[in-house]
Amino acid sequence: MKKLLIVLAATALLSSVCFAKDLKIGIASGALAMDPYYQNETTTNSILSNIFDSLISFDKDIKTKPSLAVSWANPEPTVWILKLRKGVKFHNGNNFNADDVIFSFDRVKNWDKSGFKSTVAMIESFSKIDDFTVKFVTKKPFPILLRKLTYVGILDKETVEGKSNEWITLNPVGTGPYKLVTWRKGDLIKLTAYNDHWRGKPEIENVVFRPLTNNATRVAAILSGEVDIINRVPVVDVARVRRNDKLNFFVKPGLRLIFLQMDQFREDSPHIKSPTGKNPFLDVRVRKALFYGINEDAIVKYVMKDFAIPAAQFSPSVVFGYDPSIEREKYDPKKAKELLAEAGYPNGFEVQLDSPNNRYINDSQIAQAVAASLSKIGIKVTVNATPKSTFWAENRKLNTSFFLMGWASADGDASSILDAIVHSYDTVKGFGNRGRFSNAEVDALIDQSSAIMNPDERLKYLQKAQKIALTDLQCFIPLHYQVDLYAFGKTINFEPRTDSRIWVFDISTQ
Amino acid sequence: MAKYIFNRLFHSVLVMFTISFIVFFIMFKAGDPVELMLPIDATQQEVIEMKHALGLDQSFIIQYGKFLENVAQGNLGNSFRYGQPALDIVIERFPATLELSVLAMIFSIILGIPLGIISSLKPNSILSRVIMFFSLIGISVPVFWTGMILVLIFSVVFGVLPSSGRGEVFLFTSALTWDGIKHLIMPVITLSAFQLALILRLTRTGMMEVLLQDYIKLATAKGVPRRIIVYYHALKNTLIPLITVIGIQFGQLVAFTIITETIFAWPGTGKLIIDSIQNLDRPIVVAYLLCISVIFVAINFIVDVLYTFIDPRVRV
Amino acid sequence: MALLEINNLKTYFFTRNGVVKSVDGIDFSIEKGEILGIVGESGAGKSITGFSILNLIDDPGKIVAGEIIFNGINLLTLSEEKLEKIRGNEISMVFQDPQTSLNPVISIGDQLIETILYHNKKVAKKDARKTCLDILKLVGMPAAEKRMGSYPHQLSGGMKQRVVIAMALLNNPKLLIADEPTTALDVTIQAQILYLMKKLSKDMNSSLILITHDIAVVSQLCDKIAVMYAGRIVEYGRKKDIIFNPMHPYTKGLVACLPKLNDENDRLYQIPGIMPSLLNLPEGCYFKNRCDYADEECNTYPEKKQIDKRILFCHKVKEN
Repeated sequence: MKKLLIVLAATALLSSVCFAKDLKIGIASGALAMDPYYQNETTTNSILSNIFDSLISFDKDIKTKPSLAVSWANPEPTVWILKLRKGVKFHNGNNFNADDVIFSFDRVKNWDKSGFKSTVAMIESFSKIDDFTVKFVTKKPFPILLRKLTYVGILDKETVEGKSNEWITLNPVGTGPYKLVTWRKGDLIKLTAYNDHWRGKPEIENVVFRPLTNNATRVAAILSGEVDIINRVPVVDVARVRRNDKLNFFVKPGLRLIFLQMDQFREDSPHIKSPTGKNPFLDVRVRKALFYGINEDAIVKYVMKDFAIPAAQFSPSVVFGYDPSIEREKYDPKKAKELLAEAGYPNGFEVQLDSPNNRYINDSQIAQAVAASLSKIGIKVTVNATPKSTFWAENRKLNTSFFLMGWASADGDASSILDAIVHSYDTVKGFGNRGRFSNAEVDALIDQSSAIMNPDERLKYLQKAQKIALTDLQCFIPLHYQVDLYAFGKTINFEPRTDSRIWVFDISTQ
Repeated sequence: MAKYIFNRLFHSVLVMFTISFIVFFIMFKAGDPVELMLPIDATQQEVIEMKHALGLDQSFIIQYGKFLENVAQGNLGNSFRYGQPALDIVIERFPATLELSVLAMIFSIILGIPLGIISSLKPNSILSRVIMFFSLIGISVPVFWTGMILVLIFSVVFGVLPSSGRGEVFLFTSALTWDGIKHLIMPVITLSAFQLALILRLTRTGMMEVLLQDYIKLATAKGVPRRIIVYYHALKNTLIPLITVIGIQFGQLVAFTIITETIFAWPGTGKLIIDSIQNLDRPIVVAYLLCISVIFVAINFIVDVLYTFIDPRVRV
Repeated sequence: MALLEINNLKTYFFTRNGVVKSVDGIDFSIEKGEILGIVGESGAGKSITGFSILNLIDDPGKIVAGEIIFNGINLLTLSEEKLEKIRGNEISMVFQDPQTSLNPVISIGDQLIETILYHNKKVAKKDARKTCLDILKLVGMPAAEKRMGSYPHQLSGGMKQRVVIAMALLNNPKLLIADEPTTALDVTIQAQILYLMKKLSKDMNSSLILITHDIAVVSQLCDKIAVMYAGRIVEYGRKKDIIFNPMHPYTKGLVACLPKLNDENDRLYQIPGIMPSLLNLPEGCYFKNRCDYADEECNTYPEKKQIDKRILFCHKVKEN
């Protein structure tokens, strides 16, 4: 018996020693696939960005920098020449060259299950100039092409060509600093360092990503030391994490804006009970009243526990298109009531606010807080919080008059939200514009800005579009930007990224 | 016997058909998974294309028909979310769940029956009362609470057990390695708490009832040792209703793994099914429910057969 | 020395409603080879007396006083372990309801064989099986070999009772206690079973205590009779004395209940009234409220009288 105990103890000790150099990261959700073109989903993208390199990458503050492309030229507005990095090898030893780039872009554009088609939609054609030079031609002048290229991980043509989708999604071969060792869906993703990476040898030898979707489980894991890093620290556990002297707590402002959209095109809106029989949201004064009538500071303080940044515009400061001159106007219920009266609604009206309840941080609670705020200025709001599957289905059918939504400008450029949500709904843009806000001047500014290559010039257009749409016309009500909360051991050097991706190469231990 | 088996098989297939139809229909009505897979600003064209690629633009009958056609070939379709064969994904995750369920059931039987017997022999003794008190807790306390308290005490405060995940797997199970066992302890206890209490109480009432019977008195009058009377003469009679309950409860166990798996980040089908329902991943939901119904049917069959061995009054 | 001697046996049940004195101080004895009948109405304490002998009294009952001397040893002083060796071995019992006496999930054969094996560790199973078969044939079980593998629910009441009797006889007990062995059976079977029991006891020279409410049965089979009423013995003696010359008014009443072939009455005789509740016994003689001869003298409990070979508890019968 004693012998058995000794053997067991030794095994336990040995196994703990063996795993000592493994970095363990507890993440709030797991990866869907190991195929980088399968679905454009945050966590999948985050993990795969360790395995695959793209031509261009983002730094921590979403500025573009060279990756597999070392330099680029834009000789004509629609033509881009990229020079590729030499001497790069895939994990299996194959050489990286332009053929791989061509193959990859062909697949990401044309594979019927590609989730990135819209990302590369503006690319008209791509061709090989020589083994280390590729040419992209865009449909129209496209200033943010490089940002879009950061989404496309480069595949090894020789490995992937001819293989089935099922094979590809299980066997990732990239040029990134880490190789896949094990993927147990929902359980763990183990990566090991690729020591011949062009950035150099990664410091962390092995990393294990563990999806810990249950909030309490994730927190327990970091508190007990079973993982070294967790993301998405639940707001209610922040105090406990802070108290723990073995942990660092980090707040990183994120890219996602939480806002409210209103039905701005139908006289007869499905969920409004208006005393005038007309849709109040069609009047800019009513929309402005909403903006003044919502106590966002209270929402940030009590619902988000101070872990949110009140927003006054479409994008946070790191995003191109941000206007530093805009400040959020103060909560002013008196002014809100005056505006409502002016618009012909002295006693307010009734409306249903739709919100998902499992998509954004505290989404339904935010909706409840909004309803509470608005009731004070006479607008009776009923909150209809549903699971995201129901919410999106109804939303796409426009079965909504007033709803809460989130948008992350993941490209780091304001054009994404402008094109998707602010631009009028037509055949080309505005597919996320479910409130159907429409203004010709704004549309013109947006369309023109998308083709201006000079950044200073372009910025002016973006800012002007925002000013008209948001400041003048209150196309929607911005609430706040979400922040990402991380906790990690004091011996870990980790600087979270704005795009919420976790790049293990940039993590080290003391 | 052969006729009986054939009958049962026929009924089972019928059951599975019905289940597949109902589930298919519900998932069909529940919403649009494409909405959840594409970003907000996906164009209408993209939506149409993806719907078509997944076969979701057809009518219900055609979709169900295609499904049946595929089933006949052993193919339950590809998961909308993962893009891989749904059946493979479910089967990949099943061993983890089965492991938990089976171990929890074994644990609750190994502890529940003896404790139930002990508390039935001297129902008013202190030991019995203590046992009954804890069984009351086991029946009443919700699964997630038990799990979280265990994690709090043993992982966070004392740091002796891992708070989540499955340990090293060897030969399909994690019960053969020390690391695996460490990871199994809390989830198994959490999952089995209710079962244990239930089996304990059922055994106790069953035994108490049986021990009052005339045939027990006669056995005593024959001079059969008390030990034998309790563990053979009485227990054999108590087992009959107990086995039925255990069989049915196994189904409940597999269902409750959903909560346990979420708390302990256990990579089983429970977690998979919750996510799949939320994401409207119909192929996985259907594949999972079909697998579950196979398991249920098998368990019920085994229980019925076991019955005939224990209760001679019931013969096939 | 008598095989079994009961002295002042008292078995009480401590219930929520009070103390039920089921057996309240009885004395009797039985010799080797004798058949004793204990007769009385339901609730008189007969079955409890039988159970007390083997200490089969469960909560809330308790044997509070007395001696049960079997072969010179007071059974009440024995440990449970030692008692287990006597049960089913030297003293056996047959219960009233054959439908519930056998374990439904164990085969007849197994239930019989285990009776032998628990008392004779050295016996081989094969031999034990043979003995069981022999006994089954002895008790008149048709197709005995087949029955060994049967289960109780496959047998009729009469067959089940034969099994129970066989079980009781397997180890050649010195004393067999039969508690209403034929009450639950058809009238046609009754006679068979009773005759069987009498024959077997004579053949094996074992004593038999026959507990019954049926005075006709004891009048046929028994050597000695004890009449019980409300937990006490009211009359006790040889059969011919008790049956042909009953002295206690209760016994007289019981005997009068026997239907006679030459009876000219249309109605059967009934003793008026019912036995008093054991929670609420009257002062003095328990039978006084139903007795034709009762008077104030009967307000004190009668003392024991011995008339010839008979024991009697009645004020109204004079020793002479």
